[in-house]
Amino acid sequence: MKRELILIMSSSLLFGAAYKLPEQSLSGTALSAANVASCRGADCSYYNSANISFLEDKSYIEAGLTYIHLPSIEFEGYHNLFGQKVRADAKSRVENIVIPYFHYVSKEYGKFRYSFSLTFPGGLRKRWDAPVQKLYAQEFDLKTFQLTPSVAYRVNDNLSLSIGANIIYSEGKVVSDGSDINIPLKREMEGDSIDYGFNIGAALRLDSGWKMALNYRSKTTLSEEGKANLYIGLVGKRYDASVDIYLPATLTFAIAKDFYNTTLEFVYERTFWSSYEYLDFNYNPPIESATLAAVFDRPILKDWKDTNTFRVGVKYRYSNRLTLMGGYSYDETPIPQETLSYELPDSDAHIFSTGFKYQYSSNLSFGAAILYDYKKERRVVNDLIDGTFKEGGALLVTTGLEYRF
Amino acid sequence: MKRLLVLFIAFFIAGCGGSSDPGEIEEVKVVGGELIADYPANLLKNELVAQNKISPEDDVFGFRAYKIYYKTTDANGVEVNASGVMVVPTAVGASESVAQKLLYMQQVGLGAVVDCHGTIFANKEAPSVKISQTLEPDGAPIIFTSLAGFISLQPDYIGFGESKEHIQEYLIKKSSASSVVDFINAAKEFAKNNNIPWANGYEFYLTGYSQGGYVSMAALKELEKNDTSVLMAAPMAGPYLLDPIAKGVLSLEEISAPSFMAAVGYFYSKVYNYPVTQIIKEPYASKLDTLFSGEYSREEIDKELTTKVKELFSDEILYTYELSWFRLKLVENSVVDFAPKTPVKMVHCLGDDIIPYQISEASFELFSNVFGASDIELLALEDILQTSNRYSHTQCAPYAYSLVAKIFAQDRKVRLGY
Repeated sequence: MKRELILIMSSSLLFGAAYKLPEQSLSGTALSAANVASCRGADCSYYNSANISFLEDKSYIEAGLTYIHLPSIEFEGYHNLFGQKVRADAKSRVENIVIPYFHYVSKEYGKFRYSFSLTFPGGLRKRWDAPVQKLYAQEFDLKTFQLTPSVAYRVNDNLSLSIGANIIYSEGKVVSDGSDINIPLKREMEGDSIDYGFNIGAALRLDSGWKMALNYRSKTTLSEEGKANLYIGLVGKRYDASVDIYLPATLTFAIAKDFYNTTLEFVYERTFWSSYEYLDFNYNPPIESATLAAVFDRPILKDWKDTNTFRVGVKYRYSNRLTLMGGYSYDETPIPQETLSYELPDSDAHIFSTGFKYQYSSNLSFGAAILYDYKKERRVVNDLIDGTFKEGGALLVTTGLEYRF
Repeated sequence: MKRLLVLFIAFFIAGCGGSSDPGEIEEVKVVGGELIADYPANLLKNELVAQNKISPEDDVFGFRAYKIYYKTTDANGVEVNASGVMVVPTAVGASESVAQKLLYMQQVGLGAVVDCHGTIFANKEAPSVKISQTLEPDGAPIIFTSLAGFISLQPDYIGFGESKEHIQEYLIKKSSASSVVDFINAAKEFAKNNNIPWANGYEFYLTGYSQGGYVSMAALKELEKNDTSVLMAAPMAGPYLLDPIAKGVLSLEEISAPSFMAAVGYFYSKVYNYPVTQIIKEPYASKLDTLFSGEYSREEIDKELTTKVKELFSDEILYTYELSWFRLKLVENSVVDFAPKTPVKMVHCLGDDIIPYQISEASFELFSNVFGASDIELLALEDILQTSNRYSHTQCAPYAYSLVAKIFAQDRKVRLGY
């Protein structure tokens, strides 16, 4: 039983591939993030800062909001509770979140140019109200806020290199409660952290119209530190708590080509999730309760896999003022069947997007985009779960404003 | 433009204004005490089944423990703030049938058992401290409360829990008794104030193992002076007659657990104001302030002492014990000096290696033949279990507790109908 409890309650801090949120600008949403090699605005700062060298010699600002709608994930099936299979059909709560973004690119300073972005590059919220699922993830919340200052160096008219820092503030919250299924163990945990990583990029623009980009973001360990209240029944104890969460390293290769008034871009992204092998909480003072220690204080095998993401984006300049955009991505989940649970019942995704940008004046443009993330139905059979997750996915709507001066 | 930038960054920062603290622990209010554990029946049952201590068919109740604060007096009559634990059965995590059974028991009234714990030297081993730290069931209340459905009461004794700064009054008759009697009175008040359904008249059973056997016998004498609510006493493997035990130890070449007799010598010296060196030899005498400070367990203390009697005890005590103040105090503090009116079942293992079975035999003879107790019985555990095995002092405890729980439950069935 303790093993089951360990699996139930300690596996649930991370948020899965879905906590990577690459749509961080109007074009990013409209193009399903296929906006790396061909970006031409302030959001190059985020997608590949080497590209800022090729922007017109002006300052660029883009700001906007993304509304994220996460519909219910439905689970139909059984749960292994103390060796007994119990019916555990449930729906997660619908979540609606609004996140802002901001990008800035400076004018040229000789061969150098600098930029910075304020983004929320990862995070998710998942809440379940059904008795069995509450034991895993009554509430799951991770927010990350990233400041990315970068500097680009134009080697020549065709090649630019960049380097930047990723300064990440993150907050995590976990609530899990087994009271409704007669296991009165409860955890309330909150923590935050400031951590650092880096990114490097290269952009190549060939005279033939081909554009290529290579970008690498380092792995960042979010060392969440905070407090945890752990309860058995009506009695709780308070601990200093810490846990490491990983934002994985990513390597992105993109290639784009202009065809008359159309730009086509392909992106291949490799995300190194396999660095996430175990989830290991630490408490101070050490937990003296054998039950609480067994449930909350043992390293939990995650064994995630590296993933591939393929993106394609199309920009069509309908007129001098109006640009239409569309995108598609195929995004693999890193979570193996053996360690998948309710906190992130992730699956491979098909992502479709579209949007527009309108050039209101020579300095100001605005636009809107919509993205639909279709999660494939996933049948899961592991030590705890025998059932199917379906529905879910996400709907994103982004509105943005860009100013050049 | 700069103003817009500042506003936007402010918006970001506001969006990140969370905390890293889920707030204070929610505490349950109780009058005169503190809830220190609320362990569900199903988790406990799984543990006990996994340890082969019960079968999957056995009933198990939830375990809710309260720390109770009270005042008592030490050997010198000085008031001391003390503590103890009351454990109450609950239906939390229990099966439907167990919950129904408990409901009925609560309507009729719950029986209660006062258990006096055995020798401990570390404060962390005291009932209220250990349960507070682990939030988990521990010790005899698992048997009496979670398996048998009694309310369990365990005093920490002077020197532990709330009185941890006070020296332990180890095997001192007067304060051993008062710490139990005052605790029982406080527990009755606590039950009244917190609607705990203790059966009519707040009657209870009294038991304890080893030091607890001694303490329960000392308490029984005091309880019988004023209190008629003790239904039956079942002291187990207690050092009721301290003088012959001391003589026995001092006559040996080696002893397996030197901390016991060293503790008697040390704490008696402190309570009665004699130099420790009159009983314990150097270099051990100088170590005892530290070893018996409440930080160390018996096992840790044993490692710091010698098992050789002639190296541990002073020549004075080895060769003039009969004439010593120490012997006088041991005789004074022996608890076989009255005729219990309450039914008494003395339980002891024939194979006891720390407190010989003969101590209970001799005590039984004194109680029944010298003082004239009419309702007293000596039960040799191995005979009851019809086994040829011989159980040591440590091995004997769980069997003895199970036997006593059974005896109390049989009596409860007669009195309360369940």
